[in-house]
Amino acid sequence: MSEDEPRVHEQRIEFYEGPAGGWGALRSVKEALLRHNIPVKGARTLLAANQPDGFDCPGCAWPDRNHASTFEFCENGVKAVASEATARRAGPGLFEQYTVAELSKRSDFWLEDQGRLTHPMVYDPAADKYRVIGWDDAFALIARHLNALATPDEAIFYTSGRTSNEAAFLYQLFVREFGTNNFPDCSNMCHEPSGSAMRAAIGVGKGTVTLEDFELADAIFVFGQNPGTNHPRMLGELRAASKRGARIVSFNPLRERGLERFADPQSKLEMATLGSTPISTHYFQLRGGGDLAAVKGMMKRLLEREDAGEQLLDREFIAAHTSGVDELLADLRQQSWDEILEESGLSLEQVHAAADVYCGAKSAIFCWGMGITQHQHSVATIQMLVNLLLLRGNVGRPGAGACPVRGHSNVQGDRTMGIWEKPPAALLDRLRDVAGFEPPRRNGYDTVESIQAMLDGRGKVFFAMGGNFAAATPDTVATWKALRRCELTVHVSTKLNRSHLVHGREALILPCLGRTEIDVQATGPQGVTVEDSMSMVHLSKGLNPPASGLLLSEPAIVARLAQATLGGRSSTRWLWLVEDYRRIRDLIERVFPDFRDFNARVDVPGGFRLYNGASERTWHTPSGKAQFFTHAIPRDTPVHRARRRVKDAIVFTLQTTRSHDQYNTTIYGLDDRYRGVFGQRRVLFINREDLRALGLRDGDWVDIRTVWDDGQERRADRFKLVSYDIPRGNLAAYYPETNPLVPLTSVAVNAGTPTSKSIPVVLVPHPVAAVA
Amino acid sequence: MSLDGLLAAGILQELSGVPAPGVTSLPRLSKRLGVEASVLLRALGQMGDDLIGGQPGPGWVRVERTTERWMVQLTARGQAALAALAQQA
Repeated sequence: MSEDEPRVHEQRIEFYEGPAGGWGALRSVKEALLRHNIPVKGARTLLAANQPDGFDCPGCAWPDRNHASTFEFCENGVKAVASEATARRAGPGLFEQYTVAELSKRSDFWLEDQGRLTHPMVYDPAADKYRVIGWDDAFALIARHLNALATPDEAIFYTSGRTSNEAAFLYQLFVREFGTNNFPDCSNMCHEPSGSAMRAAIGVGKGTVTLEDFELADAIFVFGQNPGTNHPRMLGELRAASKRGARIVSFNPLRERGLERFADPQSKLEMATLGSTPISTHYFQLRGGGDLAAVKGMMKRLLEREDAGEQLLDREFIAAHTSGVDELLADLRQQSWDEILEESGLSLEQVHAAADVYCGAKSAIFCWGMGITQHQHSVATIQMLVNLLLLRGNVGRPGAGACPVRGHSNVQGDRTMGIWEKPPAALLDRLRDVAGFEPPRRNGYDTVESIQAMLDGRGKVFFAMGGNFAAATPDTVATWKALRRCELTVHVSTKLNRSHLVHGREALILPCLGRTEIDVQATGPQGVTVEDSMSMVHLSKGLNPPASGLLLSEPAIVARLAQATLGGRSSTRWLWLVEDYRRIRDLIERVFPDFRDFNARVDVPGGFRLYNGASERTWHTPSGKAQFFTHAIPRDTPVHRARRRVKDAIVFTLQTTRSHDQYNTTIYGLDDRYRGVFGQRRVLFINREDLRALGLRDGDWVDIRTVWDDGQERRADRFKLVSYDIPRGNLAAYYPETNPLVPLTSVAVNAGTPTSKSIPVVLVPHPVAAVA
Repeated sequence: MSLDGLLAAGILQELSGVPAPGVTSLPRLSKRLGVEASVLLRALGQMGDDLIGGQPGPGWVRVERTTERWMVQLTARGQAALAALAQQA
């Protein structure tokens, strides 16, 4: 780390005794605001603005209750807003001061900490620096590259989950009119398996519950998710459920404070008395990737009780609404308990206890996050979760349902708008009919396929609408090589990040407005819409003056790029559309019938909920019914194979994870308060017994190496061992630092999602001299 | 969603009555005007001199961040605009 690298706290490891939230959250909020020169006393004014007339939190996709949430006390929401509203600027002076090679030596934290980008920049290879470029010249440069390609499929168009519906819709319209479906997006790296699994099982790739269901559920199961850090506002719902006596059952390899206790900073009583509310009534620390086995065990227990004479299956629902139950029940009967226990890492009593809570609940909600989705068998696991819900009719009635908790604030909306490399024919037909061009019908590349295409020369232009592709993606060495092979890389961004420094032969940085900023177009200030994890669509309007007068909105960037690239070939009135975003919404409504009366409905405070067939027990599946899927417990995962192959070392299952001071690739600080880590990120959480087995101690340094079978070495060096409450054989470390360990070819079956939660690795002591 | 003329006039009027040195805090202004903070912030954003949509604002107000709070002040151009409004009335 360089001398002038920001470091908020000194490096230390210190057990955190407090609850999630509470005074610690408020202190952290104050530090975040001060860091970005945002007045502390007035901050509530800004942060309370997540109201019907304000902006949507650019943090996570958890919905707001009546869209008038207690935003000011969502610690990580504050960090997201403060980061965007920062008074710091990464202007031309910064780029004049440093070469790209020099910037590349800086940490991700330092890069983001330079502040908001202010000017469009183009890479000057002679000086190895970014220089200012005019917008028109920038668009002309991109258009020249795109129009020179041998085929439109040589261009790749990435989308971040913060992109608004309006920008995403225009973007997919432009890209398809240009001629490709190459739409890698952040969904490919997170909840793609949820969509794949649920579309096949219940006919919709989204969650089926609303916030009101959380008020009614008797039991809430949280699988592979850490809401205290990744969706802090969800803790409010869990706290309320806990207070009224609902059972909350958590499955997570790591002990996470946010799943244990929460002190609501809004609660004067809890704050004054240093009290807190217990969250999980049951906490099961299963093996990483052991969820499928655990859920199968719960179903087996349910069936055993049913066979013993209890009436636990909702036979009426199953008969009327489902297909395939007989195969599932037969499979459960022959399933051995030994295999369930071995693969889940839980005891028989624990599996029984979890199942018994489920059987005792009149209504239950299953939530899950990337602890479920980033495994080879993630689609199968999610279908097993849905099976368990269906067995007791827990879909499509109050207080019950499936809740895949999305990450980025509009990742779900972007997919709804057609950011999808495998577009349904019906979507393409509607686009053809409405926009008057024939869209490409062949599937495009997802994220991993895009990297492979760039690596082997099939992808030559990479355009990123937001995000930090170079940091977010797996197999870092391969991904960086891929990006550097491009003829042109373009990033639409609000802040400097790693992806700007891992660039193609030519490169552009296009600075855009943030969601908190006023977006004025020809007809006046505009609002954009987003869709949260529960299919609520609402309007977001910025409050702050833009960080620079040169920033363009994302819709404006797309429109001007489309105009420059397609010119007279397009009949779409791009520039007219962005004069008034209501025109874009009118066009969206014509393509997507679920958005009827879009402008009128989104003007209502809180917006509206999109149609969700499964919520109404209408099943848009080939059979017209909800489908049970039968899956064996996986015994041939990359970790199984590695353990069979490597006999002279302990093969661990490494999961990548976020710290409390980060959101995806954005690093807000160097602390991970709830896990007791301060001022550092290169730590590796390990079970104390495993430390002993390795002959190592807390604080020792190790290098991590992936066990894979393609002959390539994947390693991440110099991590400090930290003993933690995690099952034996499991490790956890932060990403993106550990992304180099995730093989590009290791993806979820039928979803293509990198398996970042189950990487087979071995540890090697790091040379002490190098650390010193 | 464009700048509400009545609100803008109200803000100018309120700021003109702030005792010397003519600076008030954002929460206080919000309370005095009875306007939600989100509405007020957006209006102030358009009344300052920041470039928005490629055009400089009228520069009627100055909003400054101190360590502790946002402070709002009427500018000379704001006073002139208020005087012009008074003449029209």
